[in-house]
Amino acid sequence: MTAWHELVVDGAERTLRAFVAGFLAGRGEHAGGVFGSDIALAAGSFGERLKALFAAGSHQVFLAPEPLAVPLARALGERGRELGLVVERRRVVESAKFSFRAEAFSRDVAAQIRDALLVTLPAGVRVEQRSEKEETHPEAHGPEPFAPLHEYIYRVSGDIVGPFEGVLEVWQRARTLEFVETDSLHLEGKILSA
Amino acid sequence: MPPEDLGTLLPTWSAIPFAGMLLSIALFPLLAPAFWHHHYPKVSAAWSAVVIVPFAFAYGAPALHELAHVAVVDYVPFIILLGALFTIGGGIYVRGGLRGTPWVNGTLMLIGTLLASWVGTTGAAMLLVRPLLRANRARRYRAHTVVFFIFLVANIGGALTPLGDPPLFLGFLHGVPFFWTFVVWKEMVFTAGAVLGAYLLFDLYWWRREDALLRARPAVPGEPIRVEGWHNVFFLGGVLAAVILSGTVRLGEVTIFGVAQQVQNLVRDAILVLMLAASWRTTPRRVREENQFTWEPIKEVAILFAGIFATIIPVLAMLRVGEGGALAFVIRVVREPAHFFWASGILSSFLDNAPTYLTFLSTALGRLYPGVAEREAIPRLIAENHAFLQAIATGSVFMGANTYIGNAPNFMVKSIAEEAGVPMPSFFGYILRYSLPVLIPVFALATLIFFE
Repeated sequence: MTAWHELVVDGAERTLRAFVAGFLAGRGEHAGGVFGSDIALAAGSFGERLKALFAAGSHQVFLAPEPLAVPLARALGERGRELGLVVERRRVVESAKFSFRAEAFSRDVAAQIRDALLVTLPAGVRVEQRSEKEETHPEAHGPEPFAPLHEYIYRVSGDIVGPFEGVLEVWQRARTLEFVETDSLHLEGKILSA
Repeated sequence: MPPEDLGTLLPTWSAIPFAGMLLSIALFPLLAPAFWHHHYPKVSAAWSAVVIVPFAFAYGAPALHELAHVAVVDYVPFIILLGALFTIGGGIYVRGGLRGTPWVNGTLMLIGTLLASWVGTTGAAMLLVRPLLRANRARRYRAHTVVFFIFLVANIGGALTPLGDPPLFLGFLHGVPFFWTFVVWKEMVFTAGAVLGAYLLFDLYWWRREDALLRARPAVPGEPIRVEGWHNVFFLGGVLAAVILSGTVRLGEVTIFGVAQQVQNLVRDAILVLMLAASWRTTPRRVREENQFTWEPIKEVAILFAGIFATIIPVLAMLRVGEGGALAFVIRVVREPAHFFWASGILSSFLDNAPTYLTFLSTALGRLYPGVAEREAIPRLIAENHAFLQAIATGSVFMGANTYIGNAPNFMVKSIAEEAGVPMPSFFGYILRYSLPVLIPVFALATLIFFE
């Protein structure tokens, strides 16, 4: 899998989006990368959270595969300042992680969740802290107004860990599944330069 | 010793088992559903024993008479009515494929709201929830539809007749005329209209966010709508006729376990049992299987209401004597119809609405006619202070919709929807996202229009 880079850019989000769109168009591409505001990215350390609080709205995160991120960072360095865009930090994303949990009451829904989050995972992506449990209560069949209990209960939780691209794919998949709750994406990486 | 005197002797803490019983029904399904599912009969028996044993030891014959009175006059007819409505309603199955557009959903809810007063909120919810879920199977945004279905069909729609919601039937058993309940039609039309209007706005908003393919009219029409077991409608008619008959004719009185019971009430109960049996015998098993019909709901109602009716005895006795009883503080706080609307409503939001209705009916009687026997006091309440009874009836019925635990069918609909793959909001999500922004403003407006 290609390495992904995280660019933290000081400047207005709309300007950065326009810059990236123009840059991609110039390369003859339509899509590539993902903006931090389009996904739920967790702030790392306490210091970073504090910084994010004070810099709310002025710091943008853009994640892209290395072949796009490197020339984009260079272009931002060359032409960004006149548009008010400054690359503050760039790092290689070495791994990503998010936690999920689900509770479902139908075997069909449970099968969809299991397939999407535990079985058909992209290369290099794995599940850690996995906990999976099925309960059946045949005596709870039919409507029950005062003592409701589901006939079938499926509970699963865990952490999806691995390369950013694959984890992002599973995270996006999980967000479309009903009955699944996902936490923010945590990124681990090595800072390169501004 | 007449029951009124008993009410002046009982201490405040004798209401604790009643509170415990209602809180058990409200909280155990949320906090420990598996425990509750398997052990609710023991919990109900334990709370009942906490009242019955010391009550009988301390007060002897008057206490036993009170118990027998509640069993003969309230409990048995109540269970027979609910059993009949549930069995007959469970024999009707709506087959066919509808398309879950806002207008189709709105029409289904309107039908359910109108039906609820005649087949009971539980019956109407059971009848229509599966067609509603089938119609919306392909939709991405559908939890709000189930929530509004709970508001309208499982609660507000039941306000018009004593068949609609258990509290109103208890009122009927205590002497409120069958057709009196129709006086709340304005409150019901206003509330149901406002909530249905809000639903259409919500659903139009979410419908526009559905996939374009889903919104496009399909080239091939779906399976036509067909009602199976429709002959049960005649049995529903029989139930209706029997209940109305018991409220309009006088056939004398008999004594059962030392309790006077009207013969027409016994005739009514016999007809209801007959209708139940006829429905059971004549409805194909397949129809009941499609409805996932079991006797479990009736078993639950029978066991839990035995506990409720046993533990409510001291509370009602204390309230009936007005400011002379240990619950005088309740009588003093709740004074105006608007207070009764909100007090019965807020309690009905978290506790079962049938005992709440009885509690506030007794509070109103204790406040306005302290010491007067119930059979005299209720006609006077209707003739002289009907706004109080309207407030209690509508507060108890409407505000059962405020939470999942406010009325029995709420949880039932939630469970059925979740098993059909609809991600329903959590207990607090339901309140914060739907009840507070939709229901509470509507109830506040209803207060200004009808009870100020």
